[in-house]
Amino acid sequence: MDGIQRPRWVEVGFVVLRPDQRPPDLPPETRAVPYYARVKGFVAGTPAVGDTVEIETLAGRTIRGELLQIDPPFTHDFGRPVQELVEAGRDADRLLWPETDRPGADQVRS
Amino acid sequence: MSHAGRGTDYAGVMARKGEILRTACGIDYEEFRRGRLEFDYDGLMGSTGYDLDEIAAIQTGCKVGNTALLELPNLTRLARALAPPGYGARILMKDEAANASGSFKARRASLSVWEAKRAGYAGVVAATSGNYGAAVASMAAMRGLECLIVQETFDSRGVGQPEILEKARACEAYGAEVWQLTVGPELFYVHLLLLEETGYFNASLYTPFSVAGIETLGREIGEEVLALTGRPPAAVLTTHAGGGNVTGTARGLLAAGCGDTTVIGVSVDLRGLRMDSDLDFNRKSFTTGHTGFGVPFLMNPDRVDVPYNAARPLRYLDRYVMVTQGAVFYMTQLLAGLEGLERGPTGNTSLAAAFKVAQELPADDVVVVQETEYTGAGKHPTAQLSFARDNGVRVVRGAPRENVPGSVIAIPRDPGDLEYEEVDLRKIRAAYLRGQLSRAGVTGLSDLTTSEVSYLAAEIGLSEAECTLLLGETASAISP
Repeated sequence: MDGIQRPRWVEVGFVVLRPDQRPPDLPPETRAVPYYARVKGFVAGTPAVGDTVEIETLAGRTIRGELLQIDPPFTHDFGRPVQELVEAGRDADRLLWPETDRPGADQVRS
Repeated sequence: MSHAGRGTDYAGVMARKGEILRTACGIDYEEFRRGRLEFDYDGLMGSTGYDLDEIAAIQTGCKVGNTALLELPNLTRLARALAPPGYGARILMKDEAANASGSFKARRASLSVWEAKRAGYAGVVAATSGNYGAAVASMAAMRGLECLIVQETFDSRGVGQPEILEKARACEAYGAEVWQLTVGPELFYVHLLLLEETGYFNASLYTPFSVAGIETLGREIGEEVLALTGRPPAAVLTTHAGGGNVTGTARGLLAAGCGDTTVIGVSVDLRGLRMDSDLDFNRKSFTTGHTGFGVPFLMNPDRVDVPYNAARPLRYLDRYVMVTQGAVFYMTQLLAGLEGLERGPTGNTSLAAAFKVAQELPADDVVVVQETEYTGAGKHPTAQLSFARDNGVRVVRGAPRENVPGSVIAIPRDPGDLEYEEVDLRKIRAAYLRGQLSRAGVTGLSDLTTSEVSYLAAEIGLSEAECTLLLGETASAISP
């Protein structure tokens, strides 16, 4: 294996349709921008971000595009706590389990 | 590439739509056409060649179906506290998150992918930004087929909707090639392009395979409630977008002998947001189960990637109601906090309405919420509400009427705030009729044959007499 670079997991992007190739009945803000695709796959060699490369996708197909990211990260998460939601849950809890009959309500930790 | 030397320009590919789709799902839809507006719906649904027992057996073999029908005693108790004495139906929920890939969509994908394998296709393609993508990818993984998923993911800034980013992650975990696209109806163009390029099966949401796969869900609900209570459920609530969920569930209920059950479709109210707008795209917190799909699909079910949509919800819907984004997030919190179940949020759309519907029914009735879905990063309410705030949407505590799609999400102040808004199905039916008549070039009521009136009546779920009355009125435009 010496000297052989393992293919890297990357993301490429490419324009599918330029604005002038998009259908005419779109809202203006949509038609003003290109119709753009991103696909992930493996790339051979050591290309740099911005290079035009060919990737092999998980379906084994070849797709050409601009190299956008190497090891593209997951950017979605659980966000930040939403106080309105936390409060809402506590309020409903109190309705269902009024303080008097709520199990453990009389237990105070000191 | 195998576009046979033909261009891949937008107009050229769209013009080959019929040919591409015929090759890609092995169904000759022309066989079911009957004249200028009728088609043989029962014939189309029968064309899968599988009966319900065979479908159930196929689904058991791919980790789908026979999900638990969960009792929600604490939400029921809360509903009864808000209802008049003697009211407050028992709320049950089908835990569809337990299917492979985490949603009821596994039922739809199971039969499609089974059929793709049987018919000798090497892979499957589906255009979907929702749970269906993960469902198709999961089934393809089990069957050893290649899988391509095409989804609308980003706005032109490259900002992705978190729930859709999560779906892409899941699809890739199951081994699919995922095309993440910017906003636009050209998703269909890419779908066609890839079908032509690969020769793979079109695992459309709207084939008879997809809809028949949901019938097992309706049948399980009907049979399980009959066994539990000796009576059919009073109401089954179904989150409604493209219509397959309503159609398949209702057909399954009929198969279980539950024809008297009220079938209620529920969508999140996103009126006012354009689905094809690059600017509106990230101002919504629900990517499906909303009125942006629900209403147009009722008015014209055939606006899809197959010539005739097997999902025809107007045939089966008794009622259609809307709830707000804030109500669904609130209900998702209650489900976690009171029932100890973290699910959804999109799958809880119908639960938000069921809580109010239960209050309107006697305490010895049963209402069934027919799905849950998995939750996780991107999908969870905190992910969605954080993203909403980042995109300029205000999140406040308030009554449902304070919600403004794209601007304000009001989390109810207490469970008494949970309500729904009834959609006038008569107006929707009238809009459906106007569209059908105009596309078929029918000039007036007198121009319709008896058979056509009978077909249209079945299409909108009314008697022939009621349909004739409505046909007479449609001449004078009713705005939907």
